[in-house]
Amino acid sequence: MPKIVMPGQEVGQEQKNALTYSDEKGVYATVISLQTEDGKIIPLEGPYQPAIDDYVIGKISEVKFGGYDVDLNSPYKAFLPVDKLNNLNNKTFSLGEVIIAKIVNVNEVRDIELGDPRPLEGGILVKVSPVKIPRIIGKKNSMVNMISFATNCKIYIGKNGLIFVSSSGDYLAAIKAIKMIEKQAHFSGLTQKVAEFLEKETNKKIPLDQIQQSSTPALPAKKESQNQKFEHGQKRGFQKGFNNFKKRHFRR
Amino acid sequence: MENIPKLLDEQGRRIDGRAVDELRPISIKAGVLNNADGSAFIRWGNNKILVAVYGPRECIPKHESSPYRAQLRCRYNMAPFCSLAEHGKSGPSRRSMELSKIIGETFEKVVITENFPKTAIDIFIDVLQSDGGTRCAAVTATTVALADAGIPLKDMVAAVAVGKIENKVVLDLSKDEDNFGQSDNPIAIGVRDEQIFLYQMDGLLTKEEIKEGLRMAFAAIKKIHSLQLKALEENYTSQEHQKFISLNMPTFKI
Repeated sequence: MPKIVMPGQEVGQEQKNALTYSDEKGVYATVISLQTEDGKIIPLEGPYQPAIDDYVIGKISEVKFGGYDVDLNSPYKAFLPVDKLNNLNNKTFSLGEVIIAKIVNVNEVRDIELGDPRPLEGGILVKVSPVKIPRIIGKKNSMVNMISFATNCKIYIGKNGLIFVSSSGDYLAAIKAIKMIEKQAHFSGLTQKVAEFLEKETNKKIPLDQIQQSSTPALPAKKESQNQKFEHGQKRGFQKGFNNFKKRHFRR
Repeated sequence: MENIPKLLDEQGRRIDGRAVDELRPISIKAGVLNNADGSAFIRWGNNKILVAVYGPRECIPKHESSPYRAQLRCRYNMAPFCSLAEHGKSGPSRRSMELSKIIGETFEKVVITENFPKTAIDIFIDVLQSDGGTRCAAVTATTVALADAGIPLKDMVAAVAVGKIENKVVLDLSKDEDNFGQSDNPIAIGVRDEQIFLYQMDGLLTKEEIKEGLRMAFAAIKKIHSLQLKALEENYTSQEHQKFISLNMPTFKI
């Protein structure tokens, strides 16, 4: 039976990780967390700590000379450089656009660099606690696949606690299910509960054993941009500025 | 000071009928504010205090931030209606600046700020009703609010005051006992290894009286800590929490 441990409570001698504090006498929990039978510590509260290879959802908060600042709903802002936009065929973003992107690099003062951006359109963003995200994803994406199977919504999950639910299907049921998982993340047997809930909401039979499992997270397709390629001298915005900059400084 | 009330009667009972080593009734509730990252509300006798924790969040102004750790900022404020005029006024004052400073410094030793470089953690303490011992109640509630926000703590802190009235050492002084008594010593203690984070002394005590007071305080801290744990656990075990469909879902359309 997993138990809830509080800050300052002893959690055994071997559990030294980022979520514990240790002195010469023992190892203690630092945040409210769940200790499983095999001693693993799962946090129940806390902010998002950026890690490389996480997919995160953010909003363009500033257009800069060499790229974009992205607001990630965390203490740290991320930067998306222009040269990481190659796969989008010269697409430019405007202020307030929502994207899903991969964290390419994080340094020791938590400067985040993003790559592989994909724009998100036509849906709703749901804000949840970042530490509950693994539970919403489920084992091999089973939980999120089940929700999108039942509601016909496309669901993209940012590890920073933002979830995109497309408005194509029964998105209200999907949001309710996500909120339910967030509130009950520390209980066991959640998949069964969520399946029952979704069956009631959508009047659709959910075959639990036929839900797809995948090792990679679902991502929106890379869309070919409608923007035409700009010829030299025709480039706009920061590209034009960058060319002027090059002319000025690298004349030789 | 003509009418000094009788603080101890013949049976050794205090004004409000407590024994010398008895706490006032305490109740704590965690997670009372929706928009704060962590929050707590404490009733300690007639004290009512609301604590909100925001963060870690971007440190503004930027020049205050540090690349090594998070900045811990604390603001203690008394509401204009919190008490009669003689016990503390609202707004910035010498008293509220002192309390903001000492409570902030208490938690600087407890919060693991190195985990969040370049950020700030803001603690807002608002006293809605005061009756003596607000700094102890505030420290107790702030620990709960920080834990509720998921900010890593080395230890949980609880605080209580000991003092002297009519030549007797007593626990948890109320406003009248503080004003008319001989000594008031707020003490904040880390629960796990019984480390003292704060000891202020107003009025004098002898060495023996301090020892006696600390013994009382350590015993009381254990009781207060169990209430803190109860408040935090309630958020995960109560029936109310299992009702999942809330009306205020923070969503917005793209």
